[in-house]
Amino acid sequence: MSVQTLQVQIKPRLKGLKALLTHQTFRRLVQLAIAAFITYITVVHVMDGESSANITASPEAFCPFGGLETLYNYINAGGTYISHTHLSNLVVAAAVLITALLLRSAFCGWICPLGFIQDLIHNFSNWVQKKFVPVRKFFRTISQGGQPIWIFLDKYLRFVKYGVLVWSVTGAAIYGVMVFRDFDPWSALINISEWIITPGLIVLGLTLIGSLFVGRPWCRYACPLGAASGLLGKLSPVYLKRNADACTSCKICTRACPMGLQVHTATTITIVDCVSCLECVGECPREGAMEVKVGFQLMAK
Amino acid sequence: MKINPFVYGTVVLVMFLGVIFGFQQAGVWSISGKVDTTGKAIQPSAADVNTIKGWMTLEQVSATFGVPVADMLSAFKLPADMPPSTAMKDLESETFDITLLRAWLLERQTKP
Repeated sequence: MSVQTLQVQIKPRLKGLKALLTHQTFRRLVQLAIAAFITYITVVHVMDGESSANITASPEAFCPFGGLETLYNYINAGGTYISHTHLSNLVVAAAVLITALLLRSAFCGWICPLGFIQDLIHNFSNWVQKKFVPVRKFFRTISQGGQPIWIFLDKYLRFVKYGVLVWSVTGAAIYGVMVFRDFDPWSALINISEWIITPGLIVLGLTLIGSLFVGRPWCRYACPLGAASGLLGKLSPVYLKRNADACTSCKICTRACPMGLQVHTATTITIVDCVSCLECVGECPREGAMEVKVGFQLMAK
Repeated sequence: MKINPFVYGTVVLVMFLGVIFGFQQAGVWSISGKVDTTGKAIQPSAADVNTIKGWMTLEQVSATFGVPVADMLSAFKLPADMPPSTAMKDLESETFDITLLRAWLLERQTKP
């Protein structure tokens, strides 16, 4: 036992209102506000209808991935867009990519409504498992039984999102239509009032059911926007640092990570899959063990 | 340098919304194909096939370019009983999209 371990300070336990005044509550409020805005836009658009004299925005007009899909067409065909996209898609895509360049994939962790929905379902599943022993046993049996194969699959399935990114962007560029749209769970969700069963609706169902078992399955394995944002985020000067001197390797950070990253063994967390939700920072019971840092890592080391 | 997570979250929000607001202020923003960036309503014009937008219906395109709806449906192998009030974006299939329609109309216009 080193002297350094004895010097580790435990964060004070917050009570009452103070316990709510955390960055995690702030993040949830931001996610809730964005989800409420998109819900409002969707309801107004559905109520007014396409043929209405009022010009209402389709929720698809705010999808950043639509901006990436239409970008080639916009540049190549003199400012025209592929169907279902507008100038707003390009602007929101620019906002996501600029944010990623400076602050990593913070859009995914703090703003994306589909990420929020998956978080809610996964947290609900965890809560039910805590409250009801039979449910906990059921989930434990499934997770332990499938663990060896799941660890193997998890490692390789994470590469699928790069394939989806290449396919959807090049497909849109070549064919001039959103080849990904029919498979997109977000598109299926915001167009759910059309009552059409599409592959996207099935993907949405799988994502929501999958969220009961793992955190953010869509973000982990298939989200093309997360793939683009994560890759660009590698250039960001912001990173998470685990201070080995203050850390006791209790794995609370790893268990808190919705993306299933092994935070407790990393020194700096700069991995593409990190959505910068800062759950690991908030959940860590040790003072200074997990921190958000800015600067060039070579200098920081 | 260490950043407080609250500050990080605030910067994320300000950065994301700030970029969007900045573009909006610069006039680079449009949420519908029905209006241009200045908010002026877009009307289909026979002189420019690029004025065809996804929200336009078969009958609007037919009336503007003087092409019978039946000709458009047969040219793109679409069902003959398709209502003329159907929007272009709802017709997208393997055989039809707006880019193909524009090219087809342009070809018709240039034919003697």
